[in-house]
Amino acid sequence: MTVAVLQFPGSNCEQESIDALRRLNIPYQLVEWNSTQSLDPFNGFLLPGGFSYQDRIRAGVIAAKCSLIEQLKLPSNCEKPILGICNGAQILAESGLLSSGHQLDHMIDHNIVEDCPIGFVCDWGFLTPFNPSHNVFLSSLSDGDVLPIQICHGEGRFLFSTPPMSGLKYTDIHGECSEMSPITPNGSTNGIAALSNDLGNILAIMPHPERSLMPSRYPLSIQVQAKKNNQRLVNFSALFQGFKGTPS
Amino acid sequence: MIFLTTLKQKDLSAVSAEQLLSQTPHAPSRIDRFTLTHIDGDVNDHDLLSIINHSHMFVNPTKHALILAESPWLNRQQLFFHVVRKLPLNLIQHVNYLNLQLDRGHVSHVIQSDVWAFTYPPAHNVSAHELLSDAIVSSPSNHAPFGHPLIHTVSPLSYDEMNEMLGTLSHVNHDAKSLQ
Repeated sequence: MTVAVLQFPGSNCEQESIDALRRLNIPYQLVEWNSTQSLDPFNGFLLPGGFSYQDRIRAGVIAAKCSLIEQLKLPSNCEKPILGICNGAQILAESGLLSSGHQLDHMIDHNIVEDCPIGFVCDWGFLTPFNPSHNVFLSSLSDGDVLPIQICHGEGRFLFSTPPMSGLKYTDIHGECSEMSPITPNGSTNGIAALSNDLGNILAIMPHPERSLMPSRYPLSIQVQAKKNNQRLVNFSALFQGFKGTPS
Repeated sequence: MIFLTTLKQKDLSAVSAEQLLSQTPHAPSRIDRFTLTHIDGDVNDHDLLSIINHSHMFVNPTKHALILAESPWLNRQQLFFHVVRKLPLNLIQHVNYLNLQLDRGHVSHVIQSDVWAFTYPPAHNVSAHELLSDAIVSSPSNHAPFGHPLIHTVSPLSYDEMNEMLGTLSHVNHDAKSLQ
């Protein structure tokens, strides 16, 4: 079982993603954008964060059209677990891998709150899953789980033509969801932070689960508040275990 | 007031687009990118132009060309595609800056959009309609990177239509040329 970590010019979170896989004993191989090797032997794919091709034209659109991503659309690969984080999520949305038809049904747009572009957001927040059993990366989580996570993007506002069947929503530390800022910091539709494709083998997530694997990485304020409330916060190591599973 | 700006050096987004489309049947020989800025409000165009000339908000004269009417940057060999957000970004900081600088009048909106210009050799016969689906509006099955169907509206423009859009400002063209 080996996961291919796909690196494009401008990717900058591939080492953090590899570190997450290494800590969880998931075998991996870094595959560069201009590699001519077949992706068929791999059992899953991870698209890390960054600014592929400097976000030229639209974030993720140039990488989405490259031959490496075309390989992910082949019948031999398209049902394997595919995780896109931040820019990787933008690439998945632009490639059409999240869509079920022949149109692009998903877009990850500029952060816009109350009709105003708010620029880059770098902060900690919380996510909670909805219908987690439908997606291979979320199936170990339960409704009501609260997961602290680092948010770090300028374009993280999900837009879609049909609401997703499964994914993660922004929430507060108590598990209360809201589409309003600051709980949803980027104006994302329905407060969505991550969404699944219909089949349940692909997850596009804008915040960074690879930076939120263990409680010692949480800001002290979150650690103190959770301890004070005697609250169990869930970390994101379960998400990466999805590479070992199959869609339900 | 409507004007175009473009980088004097080759825009890297245009370079990437040329590379993406190079293997497609209607690969252009050149792609150029322009930013179209529409400033709306109860304000005199000469006053606005003076602010634009004296600030770097829209144009850095070292790096950018400002185009207010017919210009060497535009020619009849080009096919233009205007890519507009369905819900324009509210550039409130630009509006506030302009209103602070203005002695009289008021700016209500600043809206920016992209214009992509495709150049083909004279013998190459391709319609704007064909290009829209093959090279402009993104879908899972094409290499088009410019317009996203969920957020953009794309309209093809001819050279004459482009100049018509800009032409309302021909009376201030002389001032603009001094910037280039």
